[in-house]
Amino acid sequence: MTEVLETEPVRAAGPAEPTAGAGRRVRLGWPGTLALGFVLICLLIALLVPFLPLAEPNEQDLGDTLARYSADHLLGTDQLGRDLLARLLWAIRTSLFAGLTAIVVATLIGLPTGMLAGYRRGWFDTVSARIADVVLTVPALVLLLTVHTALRTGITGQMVTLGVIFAPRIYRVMRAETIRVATMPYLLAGRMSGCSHVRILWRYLLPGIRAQVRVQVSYLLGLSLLIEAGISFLGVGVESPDASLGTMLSGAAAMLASDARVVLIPAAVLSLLILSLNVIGDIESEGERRG
Amino acid sequence: MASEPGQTVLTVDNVTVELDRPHESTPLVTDVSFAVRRGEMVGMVGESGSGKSLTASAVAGLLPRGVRLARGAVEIDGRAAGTDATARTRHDGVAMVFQNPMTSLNPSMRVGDQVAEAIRLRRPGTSRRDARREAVEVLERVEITRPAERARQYPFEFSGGMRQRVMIAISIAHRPSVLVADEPTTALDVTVQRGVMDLLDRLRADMGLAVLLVSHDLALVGERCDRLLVMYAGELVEQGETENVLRRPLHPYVRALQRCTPEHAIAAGGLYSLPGRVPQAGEVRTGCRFAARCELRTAECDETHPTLDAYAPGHLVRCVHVGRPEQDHHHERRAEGGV
Amino acid sequence: MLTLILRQAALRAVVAVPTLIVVTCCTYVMLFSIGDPAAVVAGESATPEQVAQVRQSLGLDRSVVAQYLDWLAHAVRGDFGESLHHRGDVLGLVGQYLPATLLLSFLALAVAVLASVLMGSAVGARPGGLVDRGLGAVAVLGIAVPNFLVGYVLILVFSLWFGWFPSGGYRTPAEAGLLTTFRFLVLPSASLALGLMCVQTRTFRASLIKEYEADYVRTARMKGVSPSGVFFRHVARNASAPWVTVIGLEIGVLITGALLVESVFSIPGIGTLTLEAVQGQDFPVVQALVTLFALVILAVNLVTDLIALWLNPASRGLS
Repeated sequence: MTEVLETEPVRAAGPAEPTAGAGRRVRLGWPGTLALGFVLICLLIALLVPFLPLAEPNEQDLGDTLARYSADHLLGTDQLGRDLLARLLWAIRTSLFAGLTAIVVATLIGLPTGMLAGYRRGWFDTVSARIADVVLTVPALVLLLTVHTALRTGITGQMVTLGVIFAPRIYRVMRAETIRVATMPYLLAGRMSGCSHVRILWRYLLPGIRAQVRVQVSYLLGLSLLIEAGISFLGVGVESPDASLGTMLSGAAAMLASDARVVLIPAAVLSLLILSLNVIGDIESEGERRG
Repeated sequence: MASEPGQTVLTVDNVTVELDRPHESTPLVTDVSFAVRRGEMVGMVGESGSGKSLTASAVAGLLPRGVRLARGAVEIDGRAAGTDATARTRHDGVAMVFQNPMTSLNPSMRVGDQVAEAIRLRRPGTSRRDARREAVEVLERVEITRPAERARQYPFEFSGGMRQRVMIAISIAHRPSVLVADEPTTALDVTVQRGVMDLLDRLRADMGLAVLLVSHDLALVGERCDRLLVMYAGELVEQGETENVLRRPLHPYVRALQRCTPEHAIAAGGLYSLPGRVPQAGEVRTGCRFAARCELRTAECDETHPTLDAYAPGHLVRCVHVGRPEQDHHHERRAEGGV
Repeated sequence: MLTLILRQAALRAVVAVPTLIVVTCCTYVMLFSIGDPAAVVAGESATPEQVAQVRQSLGLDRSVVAQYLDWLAHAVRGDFGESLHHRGDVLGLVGQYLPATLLLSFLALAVAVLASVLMGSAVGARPGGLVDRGLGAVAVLGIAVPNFLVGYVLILVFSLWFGWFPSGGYRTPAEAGLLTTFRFLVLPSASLALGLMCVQTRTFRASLIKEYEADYVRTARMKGVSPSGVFFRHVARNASAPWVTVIGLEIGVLITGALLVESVFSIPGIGTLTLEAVQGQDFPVVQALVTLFALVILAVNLVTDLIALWLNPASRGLS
């Protein structure tokens, strides 16, 4: 006689299991809203900057260097008399486009390979995992510099390379996520009802791992911006005189003493962008927190 | 401990546990009183949320964060324990075994050291080496084979049943007079369960331990315990000798529970399901807490909160209907049901 | 336990060798086969014949496999060839630039480790307080701000406004004494440490909170272990394992950061050498540096994994 008067709640594998096709709403909170707002504004600027009534960003006016805020130059001018506002907005465009290039390439490589490796396993999984291990052994910046040494690529080439370098990170997360989702009952149900592998991957797996894709994309976009700024700062990324958030900081140490504003404004924008992307990533991961 | 056989070693007096919030009182356990004698095993049963685990934690002085001992007292070996209002200071003379042996041991500490730590805390002068030697003895006492070797291993090298034995070893290393066992075998296989329960039984006999066994398994407590305490929605609804409570249950709740079992279903030709759910903590209600689910419900049930009264010597029940003719008639019919 | 850890160490070291070979091989192919060192050596004005001649004299006309094997054979003996621009061998060059970077990195690591343990413990034991939330916000900020920008802010405040520390440059201990060297490294190591410190603090706080909720803490309280005993004997050790692992994972970030921070503060370290070699297409130096970085990262990860293993024996059950 086994009398059980307690019905223990069935412990689910996690409090928030993704269900097929159901994009769960994520609570943003005020930091998330601010972050998302800032990123969207920057994206809007990046798209619209060629149509805005701005000064020519590379036009120097050596008679009017380091000017203060004025009607002509809302943010003043830099050490070469270039309009700081125009340069800043163009820099946002250059940097964001550079970062997005890397992300698109990384996702195009990492997402399908990761899903395939996690879904089919076998030799493809083994080989691709080894390749990912090797790429991840060397810091992204160092790898990028190595490639630049040999090929002398421009910023677009650099960012494509960065995308290749980031691909293993996306690959790894997607592989792990796919393995997790692939063992869930709803997927098995799909298999049993006779769906093709392509349909399983597209209709069942992708929605399940979508949240993680968003998390990775927002983190890696932040990292891409950081690396673009890094290489441009080191003088091997965006070529001067073109403005990017990195080139605007390059050689800025000398400017600190005379006019820190020239440095601090692009620095603040860059930091805020990365901060916002991190905050967005954190929010998603909280919504997805398991165990 | 210097207590005589049969002497009361644990007295729980009107213990009330509430959520630890400044300006409100949400009782989770209300006015629970009982006593356990030396060498006695008392079972406490109830559904999840009935407050049985919280009562057990209050007895051991191990209430989790977020709740407080609002009223009442716990007395162990005749000494008041838990003068601290939060009841978060461990009580002397009482030890506790927890439900999940897989997580109750420190994963990065050798098993022997975990037992030795308890010994050294009990007797601060003990040298490390003496404590280790004694730990091996205690491990032997809980029937762990090759205790000297096992003492040097880590918890992950132990099976669930073995870990629960280690947990028991840690508890009795204190040489407590009261052992609170909170669902000690729930997480274990049925086959392992028996071994652990046999061990508890033996320790009770050998050491004269008073054991408070918290469980949701009526069969288990029915088999092992001398007396039973049945909890519902944070209060005791029935208390008495195991024999009496199980064979002649008085409270409609306990009777309904027995009808929910497969054995009864076979006899009655269908499985009975208790309607409704356990009320949530803080749900305000006058009257009987079980009224909403009770088949004997009358207007009186909704108006007055019944007290825990003696039906027979040592057999207490919290129901306004107990002792009335129709009630007893119902009771007889149930007894014929073959339980 | 020790033998187990040593066995793991040996195993991991053996596994690391192929990784290292693949990394160096790919780098070599990238630099010496896809890139063209001969053109760099011969100079921009060289005729194709001259370039071909240089290529032959440097042995770059052989198959890339033969070249790489040759490089590998020399590399394992510590011979990384000669710099295309500097006089002398690559290893000597690296040795010249290494001390400043090592000193900088160790200082930064020490600061980050110490501060994260202290702050993580302070807030992890009592989460949700005002200090906790304040530090949490600062940590999010500290992780987001690129460390070379932190460097700028530090220069602005502590060098230009207060004048406490130099705004850049470096003196070796041999030249100017340890104290002066230290003065030059305070701001760079602080800017390098900030990001790591924030990541580490968050990790330690999170694992402390998780460990405090674990059942074995209740067991310890049941035994009568004091609150400080619970922290030091039980919780801290278990909470340290993920924290140590993160140090290993963050070492790449530290190297990247050192590269940029050295540039901000004009410190003649490995970062400066790397940048010089990249800009001047000094192929043998770049090849040696990539090897060095990969070696350091593999070694640090090995050490941190072993420490984590020692801290958390249960993970041995998994491996």
